[in-house]
Amino acid sequence: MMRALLFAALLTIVPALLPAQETPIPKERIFETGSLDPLDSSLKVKVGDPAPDFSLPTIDGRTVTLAEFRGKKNVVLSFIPAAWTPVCSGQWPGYNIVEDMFDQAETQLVGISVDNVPTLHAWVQEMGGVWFPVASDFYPHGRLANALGILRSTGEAERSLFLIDKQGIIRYIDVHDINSRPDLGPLMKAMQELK
Amino acid sequence: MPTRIVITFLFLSLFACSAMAMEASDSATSHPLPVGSSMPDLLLRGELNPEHLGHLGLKSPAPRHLSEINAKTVILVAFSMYCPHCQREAPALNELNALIASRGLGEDVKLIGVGIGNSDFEVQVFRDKYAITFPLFSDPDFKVNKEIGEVGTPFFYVLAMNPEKKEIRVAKTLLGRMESAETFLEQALKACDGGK
Repeated sequence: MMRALLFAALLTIVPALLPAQETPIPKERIFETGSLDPLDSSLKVKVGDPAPDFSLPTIDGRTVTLAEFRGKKNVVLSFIPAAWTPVCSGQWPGYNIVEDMFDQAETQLVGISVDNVPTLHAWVQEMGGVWFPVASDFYPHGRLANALGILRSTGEAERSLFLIDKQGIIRYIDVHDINSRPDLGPLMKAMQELK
Repeated sequence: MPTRIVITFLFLSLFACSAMAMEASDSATSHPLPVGSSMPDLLLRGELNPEHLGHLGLKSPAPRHLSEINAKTVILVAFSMYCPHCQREAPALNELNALIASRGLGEDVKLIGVGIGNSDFEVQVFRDKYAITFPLFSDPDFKVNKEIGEVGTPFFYVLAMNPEKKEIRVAKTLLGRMESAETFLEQALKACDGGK
């Protein structure tokens, strides 16, 4: 009896140690946001305006400011509406494979959402990590998003991209339909034109 | 007492099995086409180089239909540049393509990729980053993905091509990464042979 049970235990645990292949991620674990109003805010800045400075906590325990990049690097702010949602989870991991393109364009990417730091930390870890700083605009709630005019009435930020040059001037804005991911092409083109 | 320990161990092991999710980005709305059903004659868009056009037997660089691909079996992998599982799977996809060629199956079995929600630029990033050796198409507006069941990524469709009957049959599907390129190819070939 014991031998049979031990054999059964072995048969059970060996597959558990191998990479799982045949079991899809349970759908109930994916939060379905449905289709939202594409935009729900009014921009307060335009291309050519100075970007508002900011000082935000990051998930690695640091603080990121716009001022630290002045005269050194261009900056892309990538706002996503919310952690743990499908489109957002399918946006930043893509930026993981274009770090070299940001480097070549002397541009620092900063990811931002209005989620708090622990939530952002857990979500980014779940995605396998990212190479760029991830900052929280949680408290005062959405202060930077509000200064830029991308804070939705429901408290999330718009899905948006801001390219700021080394002098702190906004050079490119894409406030995107919240339901879809912005094409990387136009952002890369704008970055390369800044060089 | 030892029996109890073993039984507890068995239960824990079972939980471990069920908790391990496949490496894929799935969506709540996905409804893959079942094995045995017909695959629509997809319109494939994107820029292909002359080598890949020749490999697929396509004459025109303009948008092409799936049925125009000269092959008995097409392995279509739906991927996204943004999907970390697809990024990790890229070397295995190249391995699969090399395996098809090294076994002398290059004329009959063709591997293609469709970048779900990816623009031509984004597909090119994926192609360059991983030195992809097989033809990749783009699907910036998810039109292809709607036709193939809004699948997660990576998603593999093994398709048995029957130009005489003008039919493309789904012979095998897989959501998530392959166990290995070799095993997957064996299974794909078996699935197509079994349907003859």
